[in-house]
Amino acid sequence: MKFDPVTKRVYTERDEFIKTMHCPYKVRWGNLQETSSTSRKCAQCDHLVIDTEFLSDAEVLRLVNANPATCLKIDLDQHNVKLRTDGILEQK
Amino acid sequence: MAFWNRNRVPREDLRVIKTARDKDSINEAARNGFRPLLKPVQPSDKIRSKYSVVQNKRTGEIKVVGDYRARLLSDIADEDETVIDWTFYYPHNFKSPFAAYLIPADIRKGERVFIEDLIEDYVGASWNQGDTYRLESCEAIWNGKDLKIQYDPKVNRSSFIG
Repeated sequence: MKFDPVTKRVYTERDEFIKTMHCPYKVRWGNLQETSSTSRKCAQCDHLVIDTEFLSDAEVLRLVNANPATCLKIDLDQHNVKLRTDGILEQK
Repeated sequence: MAFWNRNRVPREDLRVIKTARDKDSINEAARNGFRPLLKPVQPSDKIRSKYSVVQNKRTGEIKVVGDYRARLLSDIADEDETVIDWTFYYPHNFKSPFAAYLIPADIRKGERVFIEDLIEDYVGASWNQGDTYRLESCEAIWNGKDLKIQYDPKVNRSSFIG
């Protein structure tokens, strides 16, 4: 997986776009209710938040394609993530 | 992108303070009863991302990389040469040099609120390769004249949700 922390866009290793991460409730992983070793439930919107640390690109892509509202958790230091910058400026 | 809120998840009882980022939206909010609290948009040199550009010697095509491990991880081919070495930059571009928090008319002195879109630059997270990212949201307390941002510099986050 590749992740741009500035634009919040997530891509596969082959640069396929997965999704743009956005949480209107600004939830934090530590505040979510654990439902399994890889997911937690968000009390704000009832979504499951999926920890991507042990998922392959194909698995993440499949989850998001099946439900585009799927919420993901990505840590900058997790082993299966490369950070991508592209020199793009976030516009506001 | 939730890691930006390094303090707390916004409590349901906190009012959300919106930010207007240009003259027209500030004036529209004023006409709708809000008191715009103006702030300059001042990029902090503590917020920085890095990039490097490599160019394929044969085709001339370029790749932009942001991770020091790019060559190790085979994102850079043998026939790619570095044309711009690692360079840190400020990765945001705000269209207006000022912005405003939209203060509700009935806000009480001492009221704790949640700012959805911070105007000021605070470090919200950092990566172990030296990149640092803006804190996007934070709680604040209205002191009657200004919003006191409840930023805790001791907490650093590296996870994103969304």
